[in-house]
Amino acid sequence: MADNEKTYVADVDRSMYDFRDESKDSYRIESGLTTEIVEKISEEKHDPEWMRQFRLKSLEIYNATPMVNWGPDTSGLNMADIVTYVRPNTSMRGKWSEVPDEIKTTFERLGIPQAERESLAGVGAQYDSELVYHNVRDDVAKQGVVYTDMESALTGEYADMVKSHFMKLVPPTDHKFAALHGAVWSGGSFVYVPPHTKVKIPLQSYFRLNAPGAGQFEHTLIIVDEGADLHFIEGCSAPKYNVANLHAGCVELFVAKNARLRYSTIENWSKNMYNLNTKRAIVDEGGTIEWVSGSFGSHVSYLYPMSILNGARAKCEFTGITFAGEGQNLDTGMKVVHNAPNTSSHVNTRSISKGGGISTFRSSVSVTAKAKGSKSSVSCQSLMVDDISRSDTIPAMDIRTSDVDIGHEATIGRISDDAVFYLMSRGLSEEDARAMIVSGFADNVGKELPLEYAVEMNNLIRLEMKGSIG
Amino acid sequence: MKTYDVTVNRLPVLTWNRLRMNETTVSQVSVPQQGSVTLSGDASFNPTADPAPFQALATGCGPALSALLEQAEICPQILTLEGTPNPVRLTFSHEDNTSSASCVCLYLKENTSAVVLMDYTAPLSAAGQGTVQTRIYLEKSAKLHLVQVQRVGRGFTFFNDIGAACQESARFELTQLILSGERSYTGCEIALEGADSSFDAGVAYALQQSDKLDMNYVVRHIGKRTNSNIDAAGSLQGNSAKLFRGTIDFVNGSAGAVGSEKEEVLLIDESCVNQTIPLILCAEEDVEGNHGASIGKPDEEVLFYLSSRGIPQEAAYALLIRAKLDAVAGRIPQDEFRQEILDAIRGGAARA
Amino acid sequence: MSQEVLNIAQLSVGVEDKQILNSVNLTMKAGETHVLMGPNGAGKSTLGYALMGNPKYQILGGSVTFQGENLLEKNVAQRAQAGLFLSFQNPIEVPGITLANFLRSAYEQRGHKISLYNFRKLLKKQMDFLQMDESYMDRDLNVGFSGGEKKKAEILQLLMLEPSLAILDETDSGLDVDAVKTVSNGVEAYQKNQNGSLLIITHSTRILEALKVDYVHVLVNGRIVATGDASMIEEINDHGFEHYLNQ
Repeated sequence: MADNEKTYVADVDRSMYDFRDESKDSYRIESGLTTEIVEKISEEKHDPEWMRQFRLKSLEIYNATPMVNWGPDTSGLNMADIVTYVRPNTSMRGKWSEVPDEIKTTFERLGIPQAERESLAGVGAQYDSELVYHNVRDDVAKQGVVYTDMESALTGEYADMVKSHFMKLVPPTDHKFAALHGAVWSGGSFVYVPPHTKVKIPLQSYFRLNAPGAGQFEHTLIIVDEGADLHFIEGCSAPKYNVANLHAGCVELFVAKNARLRYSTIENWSKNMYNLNTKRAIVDEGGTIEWVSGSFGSHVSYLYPMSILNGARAKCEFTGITFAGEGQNLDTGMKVVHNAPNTSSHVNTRSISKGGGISTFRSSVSVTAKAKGSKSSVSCQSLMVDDISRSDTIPAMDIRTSDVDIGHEATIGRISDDAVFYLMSRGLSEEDARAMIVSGFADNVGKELPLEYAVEMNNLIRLEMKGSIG
Repeated sequence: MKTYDVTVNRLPVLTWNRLRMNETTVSQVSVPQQGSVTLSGDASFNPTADPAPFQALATGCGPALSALLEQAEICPQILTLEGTPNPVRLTFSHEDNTSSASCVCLYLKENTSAVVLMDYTAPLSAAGQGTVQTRIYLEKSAKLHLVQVQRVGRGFTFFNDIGAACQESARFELTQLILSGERSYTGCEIALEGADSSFDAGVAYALQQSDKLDMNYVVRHIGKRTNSNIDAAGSLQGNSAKLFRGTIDFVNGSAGAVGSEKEEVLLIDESCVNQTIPLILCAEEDVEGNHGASIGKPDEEVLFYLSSRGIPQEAAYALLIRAKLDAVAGRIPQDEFRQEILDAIRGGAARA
Repeated sequence: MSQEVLNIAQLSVGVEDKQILNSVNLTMKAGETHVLMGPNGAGKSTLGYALMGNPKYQILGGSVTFQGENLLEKNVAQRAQAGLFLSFQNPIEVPGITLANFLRSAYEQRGHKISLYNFRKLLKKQMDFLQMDESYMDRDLNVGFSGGEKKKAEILQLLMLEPSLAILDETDSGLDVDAVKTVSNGVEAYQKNQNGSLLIITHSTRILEALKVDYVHVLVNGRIVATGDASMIEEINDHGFEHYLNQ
């Protein structure tokens, strides 16, 4: 047992994410996207009628919306080849022991139930298109915290709440893949934290995409009511296949007056993944949204968590790290809209490009005429590890009132030779010295993560830096 | 008169279209007449000079503006500068209700240096359309300081467009002041092709009423150890709107290059609009790039300090607005012209 | 205990096409303390950097044997692992890496395995000895440290890493009297407890007062022009280097 623990904490390696199970899904929709397929998904999932209509409307929007004219190339993604719905061969369980063995083994190898025992208030685990496990600690449930899968939420006690929030923040008209999500979404979690309830330890969802050529389209809807407090952690991984996989999830976060939500993600999809994910939060008076975001995996990413500061004194903090290695084109960043007086945003991002990888930091800070007295500071730093990689910074600012304080700084550079020499003079190999400096560079995110995630992140960096000395 | 929509100032790499920063479409652009240029100093246009080195240059405003000039048959006027000790002054004067354009090409031979002053004038009350496109080719170790002052009528639409290439160790200094104009489009693309070539720009503006200023600066670091610096500063009053695009592009192979951009914007009135998009594109490891922007209202402590010395708020604002312009005007390397511009700033910077 | 630790023979070193050291010879035995003195610009720091393997310095000729092995064949890390230590005159700030994490990594490179708890205990003991506040453990390496704290952090590394030969480059410069005392206590502990060899590069003599010095070398214009015993320190204290400059 002690050995197992060590395996989880210290010796995570890439191969750990690359194992795959025989694809024994019980139900698999044919590839591609047609009205029939969307109808079939809706039927399979026993959608309420409004949701069936919503899906079909979204499909229309999807078909009418062109791909964007900016960002990384997505021509390797052919929707006709993507399987939109894969139901695993099990129904949702509330007890870990009841989850089928091969799925259980997958998650156990990823350290999921163990983390739950140690440091989480509740866990959801999604395998391909559906949640296979969901559990909330009794004491947290007693606080009135609701943490359930989206399908149950759609018909259960909170059905009206779900209906009035679902894709209101990210409407299907937002962009092409939001429309796609609206049409074929499945799985994901619904969280409701009642007023003035502080959830002391994090809730976590883990997403695992196992089926080759499949898409994962989970929907996460979190409502943190007045004065409440929640930390939600999302982890993602998938084994490597030779065919493109697609992740077009959607996260909608509602942060009520004086509430606080921290949303942490360590994304480590395999390098055949197109990660076109949409995350958005709306924050009411005095509320706070904190994003902690680590992007390590995927072949192509478009990811810009957005915060709409809609009430006076609402706050957004964004801390992010992106590591683009060989074969990766990661276009990540953030958006914030200051739409009320005295709101503030604080953004600190780092990006690392190595081995021919491309990382782009893309952001927008908008301050509307209503946002008098607002403050924003954005700092982005990029590190080029070699001269075959690429790193672009594209930050936009749109300020429509004068009573503001807006600061922005961006730097790009390389690993300092002096620092490498210094560390080597203390006996570290060049590879270790460089890895250590890169880990230090990523420390803005590391400091914000729970310990076991910070360790996992550092191990990912170390792995990526392996063999970086020519 | 027939008018066109002309799209200018496109970003080298695009982002969200809904921000409306990728490029700007200017409506009601008329086909211009050949503009009048007065030249003073030890130089004259050379009608037989070879236009070839200028033709390949990309400009900041982009191909649509060049196409308009071509359609209007605006002929490029070439100045070959070979070590002219005194500044060359070019005055582009504009009349009310006219549309004119000029294209000036500056060629500096190896090891020569020159100061070129460009003055865009019109009666302050005039309306109309003006374009000056400047194409620049600096040979090895040539040094150019180009000063451009835009003080046209308050109703003018003005395109000020630059395209330049710098060879080994060449140095291009640019000083730009935008003092008036209703719709101003400033484009500037510099190719630092030769090793150790450099570009240094100081830009200042003061917008009021419903003025619009739309800028696009692109520096391509191609040669090794190339160096660029862009400092842009200004103030927005009334309903004025400014869009600053600044791109530092480190092309693979530009090892040892350093590029920096700094933007300071003073927001005076509530309904002004400030847009800023500073790009750093990087395909080379051994470079240093940085960008800093500071955007906001005048500092409370500064205002307090000034008022504690008996300066009323309006006058304090005027001082702060002028300070941005003066700092850049101070770069003008010829005393007489510098004083003329400082006086013009003093006359014009009071709040309208 | 008369085993040879370091043998520098005919060593010439350049930086950026300029020769700094010219045929330097120096031999050190285990447990010995040598002092390298000389005016500013004589090449004292160059010798330290060249021995440690700073890539900015080119070896133009000569050989260096460290504990019987060719030192110049090794890269920087291998030299450190072999037991060579250089205390920097201006320690580099490394954001994002804490002193403790950094030192533990370096410590483990020496082949030690130690639990985090025991390591911190050991580290704290040495920090107490050097009168360093424990909180520096979790601060980013040298970032925002005062000049004195940076030097103490260097000596802390010396005590933790237990090298067989330590080169201290101007470790006492810019320190107040108390800090010099603390630092020289640290160096003394290294000398005594670990039987460490020391090459102390300095142009002042303050740090030497508490230490047992075996040899003094005077470096002028890239050459060692005089070698003697500890009495030379006092002599240089009184008369400066002038007497050596004309040689």
